[in-house]
Amino acid sequence: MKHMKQLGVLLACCVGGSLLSLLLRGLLPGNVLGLTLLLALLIFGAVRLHHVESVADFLLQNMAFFFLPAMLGVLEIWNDIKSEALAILAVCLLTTLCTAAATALTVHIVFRLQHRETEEAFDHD
Amino acid sequence: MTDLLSSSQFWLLVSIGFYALGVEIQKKTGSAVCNPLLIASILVGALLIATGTPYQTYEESGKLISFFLTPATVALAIPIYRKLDVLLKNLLPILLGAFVGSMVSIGSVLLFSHLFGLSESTTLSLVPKSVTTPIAVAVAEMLGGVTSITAIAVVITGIIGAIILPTFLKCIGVRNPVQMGLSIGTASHAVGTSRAIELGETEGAISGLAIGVAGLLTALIVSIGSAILL
Repeated sequence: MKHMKQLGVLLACCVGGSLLSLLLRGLLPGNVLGLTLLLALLIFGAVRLHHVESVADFLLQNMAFFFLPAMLGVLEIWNDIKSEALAILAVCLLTTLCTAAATALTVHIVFRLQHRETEEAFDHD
Repeated sequence: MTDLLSSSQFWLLVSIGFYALGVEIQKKTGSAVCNPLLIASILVGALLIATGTPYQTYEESGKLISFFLTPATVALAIPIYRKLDVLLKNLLPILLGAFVGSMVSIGSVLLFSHLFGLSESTTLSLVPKSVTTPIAVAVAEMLGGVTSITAIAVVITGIIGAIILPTFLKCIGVRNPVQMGLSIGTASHAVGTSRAIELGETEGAISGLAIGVAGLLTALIVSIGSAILL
């Protein structure tokens, strides 16, 4: 029953997120709002970690597996994308490198700016 | 035999079996190229083709598996909550990093798609490909892209990220676990995160957090961007 309850809490957040998405006229997807909702419930103590933890960890540890059917969808649309397949692959590869590098660089710059601020604060002391 | 090949239990078993085999192969070889999702995709795909089973038949059990994507996305709140102190302490670099990363992801998709001469509908389908499937599909729908292309591009991006990002980021000098986790999660969502978890607890948690933050930001950027442009 413990796991059923935990799954229930997660599904309740999924449904809550979908309702919020309807209220916001689809501005944000329901799953994003469901995530935000669960985080808020955890922060405000309405939901405790032990209410969701073991099922959530099971889902997170196996998350890559849940992408398998989406990947196999390639079989269905292969004939439509055959001519563009190589270009799509190249776009995926190059943009993944660009995105990761840009993120890493931004974090690096912000860290350095913050570090300089702390150093300046020390200098003033 | 035909009954067996059209039963959803059979394909569910095959999917789990090949994925478990992929996990074992990765453990044995310790090689990032032996990605369990990639191995499972190739093996299940090969079996579908070899037995002449149409994708529609597989979709029955596929739906049972994909169902868990949404609760799993919601469950991302747990690693974020567990690492709330790291998040709050690094709030500015995390938010700015995920924001710039998401902008660059969208921008570079538009740029490279144009360079490689992809059609407009394919380009729009690729725009949200760096974020997790349920969010990416919702964003692609909003843009009028082809969601099946989006779903595949998301997974390919994830596998590419899981295989090369840890090495690539180390090569460009990334040492900080927050920086490492955030870059992997922003660029390659949950599939990349499954690899980040192996690098360390902080890397995994921040990468998991980045899936949510980058997903949220990408949805916001696209909906605000298209409201301004259209």
